[in-house]
Amino acid sequence: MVTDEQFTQYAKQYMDTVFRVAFSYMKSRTDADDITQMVLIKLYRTDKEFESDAHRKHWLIRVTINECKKALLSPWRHAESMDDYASTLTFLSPEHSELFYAVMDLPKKYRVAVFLYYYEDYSTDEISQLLGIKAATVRTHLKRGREQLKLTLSEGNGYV
Amino acid sequence: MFDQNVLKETFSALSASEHTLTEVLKMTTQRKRHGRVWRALPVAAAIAVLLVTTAFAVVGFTIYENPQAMIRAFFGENGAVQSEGIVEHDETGNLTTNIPGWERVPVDETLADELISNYISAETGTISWEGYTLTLEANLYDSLTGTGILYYTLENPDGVTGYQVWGNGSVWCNPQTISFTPALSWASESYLDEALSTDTKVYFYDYYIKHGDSDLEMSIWSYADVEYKGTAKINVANTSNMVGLTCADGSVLISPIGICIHEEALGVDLDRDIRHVVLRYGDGSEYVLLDDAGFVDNSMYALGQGGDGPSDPYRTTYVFNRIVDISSLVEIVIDDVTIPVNEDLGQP
Repeated sequence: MVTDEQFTQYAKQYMDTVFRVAFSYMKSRTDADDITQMVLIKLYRTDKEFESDAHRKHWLIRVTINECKKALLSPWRHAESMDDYASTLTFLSPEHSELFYAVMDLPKKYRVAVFLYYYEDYSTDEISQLLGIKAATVRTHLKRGREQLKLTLSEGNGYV
Repeated sequence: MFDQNVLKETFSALSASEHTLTEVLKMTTQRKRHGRVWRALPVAAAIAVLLVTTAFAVVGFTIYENPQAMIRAFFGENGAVQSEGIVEHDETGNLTTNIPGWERVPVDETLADELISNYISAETGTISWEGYTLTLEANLYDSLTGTGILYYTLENPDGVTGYQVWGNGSVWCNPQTISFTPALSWASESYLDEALSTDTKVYFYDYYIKHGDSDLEMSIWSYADVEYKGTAKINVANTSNMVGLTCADGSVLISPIGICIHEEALGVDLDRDIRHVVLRYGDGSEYVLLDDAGFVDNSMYALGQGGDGPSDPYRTTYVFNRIVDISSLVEIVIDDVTIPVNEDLGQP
């Protein structure tokens, strides 16, 4: 069980990671914020002993994905326009903005795999464990996600 | 191929709300909840045929007397009987409520006596706080599917106010209008029994699904103090087994009150949520539990959980909004998978 000081450090360290995973899954800032709070509270309450920061991060992402799955079963989830949130973000260039919309426009199963692989640098085997699906399925999702991104971006201005 | 660095820079622009850390720390600055007893998960017995056991054989189990009104709340026509769904937007056009349609049906009293009444235990726990008294009344639990319903009252001689009731009868204790909420330790959703409630005594019933290793406990959670103000245990270990069926080599467990679906073992696509569940009876009738395309959800509560390896497979559990006579079922349809049940009854 962590001390309050340790927890504050962990919360600061991981809350954006948890939020990004939740957002990539839910496409809703409000849902992602709610899930981030729930996941951090679970971190506070858990008696689990973590072997390393990587182990803790893996556990947090696993819990985040489970919370996202639960949230999608709830009739009370928010369904807000992603554009409202995106308009508040500051991207470095139009290329970044276009890539953001292209990734978020992917079907959920491709989008989450792409995010975990290219942003979080997880291997397909690790993503397989996180999502509870076969590694071969993850590879297929990545392949199809890349294909769709290539198509979407090439229709834009040829960033692929 | 897109540039991975660009993707990293892009998503680094996303960050949690500035209030997130404040809210979380506010919830944790009070002392942690303690005294929770942890124990190993009970192993649900794998059964291939109908289980019929008596409620009276279990030590410590006291049958709740005269549960008929309660059963009508759990599985009958109390409250909102039927709806094609509730879809609401706020003033800016954002979707705020999205409840699929449902249909409640009258309770079959014979079926209730046969399948439910003997399995409702009388509960005695109470919690008092700030003029309110929460009193446990009764509990119905099915260990096979991990589903249950807890019935309790909330009393205050000065009136019970501040809770909100949604169109489908579910209840939310809004922190802006009430200072606390009843809180079950397992995943749950609360509903109001309007038929019996008065201004000073309100009857609630929570549909719950076993979640994690903790005991089943009811508490009062103070929003203001960010801590539990009292806890009452519900001993489900004393609950006797109601009838149940294990189908498709253990990938589907069903009882009169709920169903648990192990999606990977069943061959359902894990990459998306279950969209269609129908229970078909030998007389040709059917219970549409879930139909995503038709915007219908006749479950009272649903939960997806697990996925941490072979010992904890991902599964989705639903609590029914009516009593299911599992001995009369002939088919369970889950997305594209059809599971024959009670094959001696013949096909519909």
